[in-house]
Amino acid sequence: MYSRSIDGRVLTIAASGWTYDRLFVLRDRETGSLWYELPNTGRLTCIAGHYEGRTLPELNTAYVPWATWYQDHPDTKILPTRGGRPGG
Amino acid sequence: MGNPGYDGRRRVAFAALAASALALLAGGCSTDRVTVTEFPRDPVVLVDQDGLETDISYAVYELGMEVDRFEFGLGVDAIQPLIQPRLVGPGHPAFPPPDATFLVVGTEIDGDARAYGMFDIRRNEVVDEVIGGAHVAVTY
Repeated sequence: MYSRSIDGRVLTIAASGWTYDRLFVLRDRETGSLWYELPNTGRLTCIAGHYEGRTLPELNTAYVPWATWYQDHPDTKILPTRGGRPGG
Repeated sequence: MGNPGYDGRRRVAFAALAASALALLAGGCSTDRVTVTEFPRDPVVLVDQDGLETDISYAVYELGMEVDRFEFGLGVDAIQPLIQPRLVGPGHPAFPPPDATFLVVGTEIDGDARAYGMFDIRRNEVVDEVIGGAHVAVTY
């Protein structure tokens, strides 16, 4: 989970259609720049386009079972699952 | 992650600079112009399945990424992000039972707690959200 604000501008982050080393390469719709989390950086780096070399920081994120998250955040909201195999 | 071609070019450029400096010194008060020769790097361009070209020279020459490790290039419209989708809270019929077994990506910003099933994120790659007033991209 990353910030998508830079220089007072809000970016719409989407898939680029590319992967690099089997990990998603992202793209912002505002400038067409490509963003990728380089190994051991903990942030998205702009690897091509308008923001080359700039980064978007990762935010505090938990990757946990739903039961654990719900126990710690009983007032949480959740994206309703839209069919398919639940969980992942 | 090193790129021997890049290092080689740097060395060539340095040698050329040194040669130019020597020529300048040797020339003394000569009125000959010193020509600075640039050694342009070949641009590296990705072309996706829709024909969209992206110049990745910076990624290759400055970050040491390798063009052969980029794959698929499905096109920018192949996978759509979710943009501020409707979420549900406790008590809603679509709210999962506490003992449901699936993994989530969760965050809490300024008291605003959100969870996204990993399977749902994988389908769209990204959810563009506003959480606790902060603009965030949910992915993993």
